[in-house]
Amino acid sequence: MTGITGITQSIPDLLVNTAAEALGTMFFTPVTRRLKGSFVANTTDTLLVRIPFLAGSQSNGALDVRVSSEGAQWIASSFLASDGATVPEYRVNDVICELANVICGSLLSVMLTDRGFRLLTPEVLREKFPDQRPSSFEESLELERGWLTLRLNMSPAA
Amino acid sequence: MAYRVLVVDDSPAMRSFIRRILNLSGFAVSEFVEAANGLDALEILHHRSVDVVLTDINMPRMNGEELVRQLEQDHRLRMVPVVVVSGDSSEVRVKRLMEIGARGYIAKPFSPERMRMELDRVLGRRA
Repeated sequence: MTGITGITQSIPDLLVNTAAEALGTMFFTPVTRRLKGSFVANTTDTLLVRIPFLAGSQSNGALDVRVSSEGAQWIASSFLASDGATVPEYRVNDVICELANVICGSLLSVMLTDRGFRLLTPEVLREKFPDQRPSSFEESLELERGWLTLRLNMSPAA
Repeated sequence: MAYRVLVVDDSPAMRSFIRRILNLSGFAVSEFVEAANGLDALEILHHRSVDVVLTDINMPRMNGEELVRQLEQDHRLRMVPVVVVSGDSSEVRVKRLMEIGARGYIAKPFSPERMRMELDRVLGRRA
């Protein structure tokens, strides 16, 4: 990966720290620990959101955020201050899209601060977690309730 | 003094969150007005006075950058301070937004304290 300057931590660490800060500061959901391995492999009860981005003429990519159903409900409830009431699915989707937007924007603001980038509209995907590409970074986090997996894909623009 | 605030964001969850954060920060709000994009915000601002606009960047129909430009070109509305609230806090983006007329910038994720500090700064400068 070229054109990334000024980063003082590895991309996996940056991914984890950015997500933890976003979850703790804006979504009132502390991360309890970093998980090892591909945590999502055998799980189907999840919500997957993808936010694509354009990073100048040199590269583009996407951040995938997969959250367990319990985690998604917990994050949405905390964000909306719903006091434990069940949050409707469309609102949960809206909140997790916002979470993906915040994490991706914050991450790219560090990685590409002098180049700029453009976030596209996040969307809920109904497919399985796509196969990991060689140029992707994947990290999983345990939350107070549930878990979350992030996968950052960056590739040269066509 | 309590302020009239217009929040422009295509996410209803985010608009609701900002309202909550303003309350948590102790910032006094007399009116909280919402718009889902820049075009709706302009429509509101043409018949309703507010003290500050908080806007996202990426929105359908008219994005936050275009909203800042349009407000800056309107001799009546250019007095209304605009604070951009965005996940994109890259140097190039912040610089461009401030150059075209934004008065403040709040990078996501943000705390109630951070929002309060920026609003105090922006509205203090205006007074």
